[in-house]
Amino acid sequence: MTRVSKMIHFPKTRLAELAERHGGMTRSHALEEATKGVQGMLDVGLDMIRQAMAAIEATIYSAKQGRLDHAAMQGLLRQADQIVTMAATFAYATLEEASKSLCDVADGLVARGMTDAAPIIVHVQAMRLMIPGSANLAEGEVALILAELARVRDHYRFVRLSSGAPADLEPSEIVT
Amino acid sequence: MGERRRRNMSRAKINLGGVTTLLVDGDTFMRGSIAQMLRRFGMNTPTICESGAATMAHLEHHYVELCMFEAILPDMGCAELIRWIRRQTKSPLRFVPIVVLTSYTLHRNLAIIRDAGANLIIKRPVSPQLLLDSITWLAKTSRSFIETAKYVGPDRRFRTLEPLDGKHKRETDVTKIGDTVSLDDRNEQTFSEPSLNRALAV
Repeated sequence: MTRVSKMIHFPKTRLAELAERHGGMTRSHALEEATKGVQGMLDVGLDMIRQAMAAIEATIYSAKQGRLDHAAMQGLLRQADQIVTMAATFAYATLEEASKSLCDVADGLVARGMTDAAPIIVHVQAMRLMIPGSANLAEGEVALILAELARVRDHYRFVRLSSGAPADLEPSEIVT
Repeated sequence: MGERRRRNMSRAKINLGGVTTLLVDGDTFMRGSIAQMLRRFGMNTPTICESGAATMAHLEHHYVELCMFEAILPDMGCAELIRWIRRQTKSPLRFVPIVVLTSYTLHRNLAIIRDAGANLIIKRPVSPQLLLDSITWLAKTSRSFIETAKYVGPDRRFRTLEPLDGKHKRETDVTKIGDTVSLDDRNEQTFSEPSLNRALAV
């Protein structure tokens, strides 16, 4: 039997010590201030959404014979991830949903070694309509578009990354 | 949540003034927005590093109260960086609270980060509410710190269920907060590796 040395510490962190001091601010005040700060970055965020969108469109419209290679898909995933982040930060819920759906599809295609550009293109066209300042869509129209995107995912039976995929389908970026 | 509890939470104050954070994230916008939130919470402007190697070099000579890492760094996985911090003999650096920000919340990825010794994993994008509540939780919650051959980091067990057989065998069941105890020294208890793994399982 192997003897294993084991220690249990009960450290008091500096963070805990500092947070215990008198003064400071209330949660609601801190949140109000932070939200203002983030909203102050809206212009930067919108610029980044537009740039990422332009990069994705340049990639997909250069697809040859309706195919996108692995490198193009990976690049597209990075840009789409950026859009998801911005859209969620600034509460553009429909754009966030469409971008997440694009990530699901692109990731699914990569995982299966498929190169179809069509499901990607339809997602990008939907996202273009949802970019702030683009089309003025009614609630029903947005719901219809998102439902159609869901049908594309269902057709390929891709799992949703946001809902947690089985371990064997996960992206391999996290290196230990 | 009850109305009274919600009101109490809003009135309760937390003092994060003077708290220094080390923020490691390759995404310029995310870095900017998190730094903005931290400053608005009253914390110091965070120190920014862009790679794992730069972070290690910084921590060799500086102390921070909180670390926030992106899960995927340009030169290494954040798990490697966390393990390096947790194995530093220089206290209190090894005990520093570590928060990992990740978009990939698949279970296996989370398990890798948890088992490296992270305190908390936050799904990106991060809202001000989530960030503040996470920092508050880290500051207000006392967690024991486990050091074994295979794992160094905060206790990964969150559930406090009674043992199935009613017998308390966990070491922390008999240890008072505030002590640092070597179990081998305390009662000459011997652990086989399999039983140790079971004890640390979440």
